[in-house]
Amino acid sequence: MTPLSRPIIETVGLEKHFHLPAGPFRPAATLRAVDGIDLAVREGETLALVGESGCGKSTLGRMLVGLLDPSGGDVVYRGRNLAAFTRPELRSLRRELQIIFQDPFSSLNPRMLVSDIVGEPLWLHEGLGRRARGERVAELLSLVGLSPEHGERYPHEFSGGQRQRIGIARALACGPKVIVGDEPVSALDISVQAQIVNLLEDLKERLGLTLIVVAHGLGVIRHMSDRVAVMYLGEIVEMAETDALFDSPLHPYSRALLAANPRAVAGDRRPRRLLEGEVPSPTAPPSGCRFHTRCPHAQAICAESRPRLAPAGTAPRQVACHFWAEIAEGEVAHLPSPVRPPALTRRLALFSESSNAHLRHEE
Amino acid sequence: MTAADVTLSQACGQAEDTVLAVEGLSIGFGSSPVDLVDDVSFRVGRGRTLAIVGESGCGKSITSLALMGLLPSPPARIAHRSARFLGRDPLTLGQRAFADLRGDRMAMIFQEPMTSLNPVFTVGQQIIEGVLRHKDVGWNEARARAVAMLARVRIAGAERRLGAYPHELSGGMRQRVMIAMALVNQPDLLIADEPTTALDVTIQAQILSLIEELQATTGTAVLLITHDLGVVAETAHDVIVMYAGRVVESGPVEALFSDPQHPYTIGLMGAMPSMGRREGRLLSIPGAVPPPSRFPAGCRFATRCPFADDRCHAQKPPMVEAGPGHAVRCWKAPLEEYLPS
Repeated sequence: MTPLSRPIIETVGLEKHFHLPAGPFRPAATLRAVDGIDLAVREGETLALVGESGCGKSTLGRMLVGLLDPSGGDVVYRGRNLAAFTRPELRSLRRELQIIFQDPFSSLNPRMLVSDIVGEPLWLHEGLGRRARGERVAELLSLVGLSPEHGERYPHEFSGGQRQRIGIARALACGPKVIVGDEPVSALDISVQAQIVNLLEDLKERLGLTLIVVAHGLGVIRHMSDRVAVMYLGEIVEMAETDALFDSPLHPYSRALLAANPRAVAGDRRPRRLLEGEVPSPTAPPSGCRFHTRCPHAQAICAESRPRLAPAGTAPRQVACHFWAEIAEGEVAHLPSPVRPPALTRRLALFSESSNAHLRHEE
Repeated sequence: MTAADVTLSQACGQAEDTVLAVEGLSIGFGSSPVDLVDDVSFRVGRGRTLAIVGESGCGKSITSLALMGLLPSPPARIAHRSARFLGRDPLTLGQRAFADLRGDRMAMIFQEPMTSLNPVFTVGQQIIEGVLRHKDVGWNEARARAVAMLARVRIAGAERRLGAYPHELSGGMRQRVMIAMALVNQPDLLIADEPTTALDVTIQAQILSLIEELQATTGTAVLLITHDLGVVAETAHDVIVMYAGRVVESGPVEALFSDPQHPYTIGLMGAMPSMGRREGRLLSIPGAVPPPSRFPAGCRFATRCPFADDRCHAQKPPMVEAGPGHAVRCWKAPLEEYLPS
């Protein structure tokens, strides 16, 4: 990973506001899903967008690959504004920008054979004939760990993990440059989740992809990503290298989010400062800093002036908080890394050795 | 964990403080010869939390439904050697007797509070109904208890919220209402089936600490059904790990995390991304859980286990002791001794 590689996607003041019409029980409102985001995705990195329900991470992810049109601001792909692309150009751009969805059940057409699902983009974008398509589909299926015979089946014949592999094969069909994974593993069981995480990492390495992972599972984020953008109510509140963020989060919201996450250390009943209350509605976000209504460090200015995302500390790191420096001085939010017990480490090694021996034996 | 703690947890498991004890519970459906839950045994003591961990299809939810008498039989076939809940066998109770128990002495909260709350009644009506059904009190007293309970689960403006319909509340609030409803009669046992899976992590932390706090003051025993090892580590005292309907490992939470014995437990722990710095690739357990019709005759994990041999495929391993209160169902435990190094 070259840390200073050039940005492949940039956003400038990106906004998405949804207008909710008045219903029988509520007045019309504007939902500010994404509200003023400046972001640069570097070529070849894995960038994570993290936050809780309603923070706008999925909406942002979809705008980055042109699936949703921004209501304000710009998305720039390789130096060109997406808004300036003509329709045919946008169409061919879709080959380079792809998405994998969370739910492997609703994102695959139940009436289509797997080979047609994976082959459809090839037909649409590359105009490949039936035979050429068949070969390419077989290649793609084996790339994601399925066998070519699986192409002749329907989605319902597969488990959740296998369906997610089909979704990945479809995203890879036209040789994408950027893939957005919208909660790609959160619907899967842990053991299957690990298979898919490993697969995504391998594919990224092999095909030189740029990955944008939208997720709420912090363990997966820490494991997979190079950088993390923490979002709250449509804004980025902190942007940092993964280890820096997890070792010492600076924004009060990042600190609360990480502290709330269980760490799988037995008897880890830490007395912790839980975040009170819930996320306010994005139809009426609080004034000033949007987090001030729940922030234990909030002062008068926080309700009045909106903090900008600005460089913080030594690393290339950004925080949107008036008082991050004072807060960091007051108490270090250092979360000790969990230590793996020796017996577990030993047996995990045995497990991997035996698995590998098994695989070699089968080959 | 100290030696004193171990004896304490054993004592809690066995003394008169046992709230629920089940021996050899098996559940099958219809004419299928395969038991989806096979020979499951456990105990929960007063004020303790027992976690049942496992992935989809391991039988953890059917187990809890059977315990609540919510599994219609037929088609379910429920067999057990013995079961004790407050001196009675709940699994032999008739529907009417069970209805007296449910919502009073034992209560349950589910994963999706929206589908478990009735959308056409107010929150207050639903909580008050539970009090009136089981307690010999008037409407005013029942209402007062409902208000007090809502305040205890930290719902601001409890009086006012009594008149709210479920759709007017957020996911976290609905789960609080579910908890209030479950605990209003101070049950001896609370079964929580994935209580925080649908919630965001900061709300999850609030709900878990709320359950823990209420448990500390009322002494309610909690049976926590979950797939999340992180939640288990932070809230449970004892754990049973299930795979394809069988208990593969059980013990005090500290023993299970520091000295996991069953290859499935080990695999799960390696597959879960750690919150520490990256340590290479995640371990992946190959394959997927087989459908019940294709469960192996021996150890049900054999088809995915890297250590499995012919005996594992053919013979069901017994539960053997691995430490104080810690047991494992594996022919090859402890692994180190069975493997050529």
